[in-house]
Amino acid sequence: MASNVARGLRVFVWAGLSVLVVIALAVAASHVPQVARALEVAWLPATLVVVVLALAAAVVAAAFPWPSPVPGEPTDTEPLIPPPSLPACRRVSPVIAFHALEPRCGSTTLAFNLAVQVAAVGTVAGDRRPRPICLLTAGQLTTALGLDPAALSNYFLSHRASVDESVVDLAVRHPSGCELLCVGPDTLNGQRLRLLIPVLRRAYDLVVLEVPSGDRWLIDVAVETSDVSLLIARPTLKSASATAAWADRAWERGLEGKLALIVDQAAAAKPMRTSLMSGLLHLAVVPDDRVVATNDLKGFPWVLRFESRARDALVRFAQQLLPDLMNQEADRAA
Amino acid sequence: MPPELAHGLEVAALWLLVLLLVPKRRLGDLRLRLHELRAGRRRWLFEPPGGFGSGRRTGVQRSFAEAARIFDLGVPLYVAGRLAEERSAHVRLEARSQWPDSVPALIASQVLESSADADLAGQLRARGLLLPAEKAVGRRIEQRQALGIKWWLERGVGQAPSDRSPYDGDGVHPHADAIEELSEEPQAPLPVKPQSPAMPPTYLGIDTLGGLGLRHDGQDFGSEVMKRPVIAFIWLYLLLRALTNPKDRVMRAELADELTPGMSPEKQRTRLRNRLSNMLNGTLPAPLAARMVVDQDESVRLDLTQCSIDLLRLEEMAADCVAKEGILSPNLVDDATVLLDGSAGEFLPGWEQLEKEVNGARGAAGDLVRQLRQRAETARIDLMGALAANHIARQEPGRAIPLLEQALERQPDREDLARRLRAAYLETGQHLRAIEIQKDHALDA
Repeated sequence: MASNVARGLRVFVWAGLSVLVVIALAVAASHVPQVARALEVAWLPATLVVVVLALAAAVVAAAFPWPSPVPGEPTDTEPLIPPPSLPACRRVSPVIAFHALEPRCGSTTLAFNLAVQVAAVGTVAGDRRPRPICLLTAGQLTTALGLDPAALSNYFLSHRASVDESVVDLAVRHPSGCELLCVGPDTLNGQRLRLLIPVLRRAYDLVVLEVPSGDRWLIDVAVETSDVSLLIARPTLKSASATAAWADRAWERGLEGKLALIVDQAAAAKPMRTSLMSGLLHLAVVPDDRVVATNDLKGFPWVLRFESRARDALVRFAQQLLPDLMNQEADRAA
Repeated sequence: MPPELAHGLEVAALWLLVLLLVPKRRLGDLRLRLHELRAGRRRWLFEPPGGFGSGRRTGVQRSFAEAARIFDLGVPLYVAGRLAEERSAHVRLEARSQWPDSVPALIASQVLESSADADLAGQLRARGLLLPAEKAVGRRIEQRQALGIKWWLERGVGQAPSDRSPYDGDGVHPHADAIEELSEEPQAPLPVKPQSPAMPPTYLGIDTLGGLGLRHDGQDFGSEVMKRPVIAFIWLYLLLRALTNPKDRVMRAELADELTPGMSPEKQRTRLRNRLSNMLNGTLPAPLAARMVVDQDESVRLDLTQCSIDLLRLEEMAADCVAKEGILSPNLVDDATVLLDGSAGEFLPGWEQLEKEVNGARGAAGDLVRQLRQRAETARIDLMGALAANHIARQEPGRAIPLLEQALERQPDREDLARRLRAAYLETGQHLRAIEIQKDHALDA
């Protein structure tokens, strides 16, 4: 809507400018004979070209009418999404950590949908589907998915100093083939994460971890143990300042190669702050999408919806991030 | 016709041409927009025409909306844009027609209809698609039947075990000994958290790994100190500084700023003075207060002489074992194993909570803790590596493998450990695992 208003304003300004230009040149031509002669020579060919252009535009407009919008597909202005630039993760059983830079920035839903996407369309060596596990912080989405954070909390109460393979039994299988574990508040800390990751890597082809924010030790350990850490931001000033702090720490500790910024909820009406995009080497943008919110409420992965705009962006960044698991050629061959 | 009007019409024709040719908006990202359109990832070059999707527009209104686009973009860009939009519509239509047969759509319908896994499997099989992974099952690790260490020690005196075949010597299969030994000997006791080494009563034992322990003369003051967060913070901060750099002096102003950041310097100093006074005059248990030294030059420090600190013991043990470069004496192995078991926890695990409570985690002490945690972790890994090297040198690669696997999980960038683990896998005939580790850590063939 806002962009159509902008277009109307542009048309109005140019129309006004045109009137002024025409009057000024007409007056000039009456006083300057050279201008008058030039106009006499040029007006006929110009009129012909105008007619040809107008006809061409009319033919194209008539030949290609507007497509009928598909039910459910958004009809508002699409944001321009640059191609993602993410580090390729080629390790066996890679660990991808998601860090939210501000509340409600979409880290849980992105982590969940990435795991579902890999489980649904990925392949391992071309002969089987991968089995990812996704650790999600307790919240609205985990409630909608019917996940209980008590399972993992109770496990850690009974296994204080070690993690054994039985932790795998706590994970809930999603029909897509990925498995989900819900992490309640204060359930994970650095030591537990250190113990948990090797066990999960042995049992799963991909570990997607949404890191609860607020615990610096846990965040440090998550960055250290993960292959790639994705910082989930929104196009806001708050996210921009949080990104700057992360970028400083990344440069200090030489981690810039394994950190990437994901700007979620990018809308055409909200231009992205340039400060968001400076400081980190890797960037991907996920567009704002109403389909995401409606499906999250039902606990349904929007990456399985054709009409989702965010799906396209997620599929592209998954292919770049996990080229071995998302090898489509192998899938086609199978 | 007046000449001004004639000139006006001529100018209008020329100006209209300019208007129809020139786009009236920024085109910096035009290439990317066209690329995305052609790939079917966008539907419109810029914004959709006014009224698209509302469903209530008449033909005239549509024509006006389209005319506004033509005017806005200029005819050449409009034509190029419409052609690209048309292509995008085709690509999307094709993708949509294929979507119902794709894996995501089949899974989506299964989730929405809550149908059984078997239905989905049938549909996927019918289309020649791979099935989703089954639920992972936790691998149950069973204890391997190991050869008795006595057999190896008896057999290994004065000769390298690799010099002889296992069937040489007394003509008895070594496993027979081992099995007999296993059946006769009582089972090894479960590993217990080792007691800290015996200390003279005047010594202060400081346990930092896996929890705080401050032991003196058989009494542990750790929990008592932690009940007073500010006191505990000051004492532990001094300990952190002493551990990171024994020659470091902590100036009062620095300590005050760490304790109450953001407060005026006068208030900071007053608060710190009161706290230190309380600490030295009875709030802090006497053995701990005795370690605090307030120097004349306004500095404060902890005197760590006659202290036994588990972190330093761990580091010393790691350095000793690494320096042996292979076979370790049985006593050293026992001591190292006991120390490794006892130091499994993280350095000061409750520090974040304490720091948050005292100064809102705004200080710089967290960096010191992180540094010391890294030191502890490195020492543990070194110790595991040294114990594994000992097992390999004693021709016990099977016992080295769990240690190396654990060490490598904790520090995956240690190429030396990866090489050792690959060698151990090869020696135990686990060639696939050796290849996997070689690929995983990009080792030379």
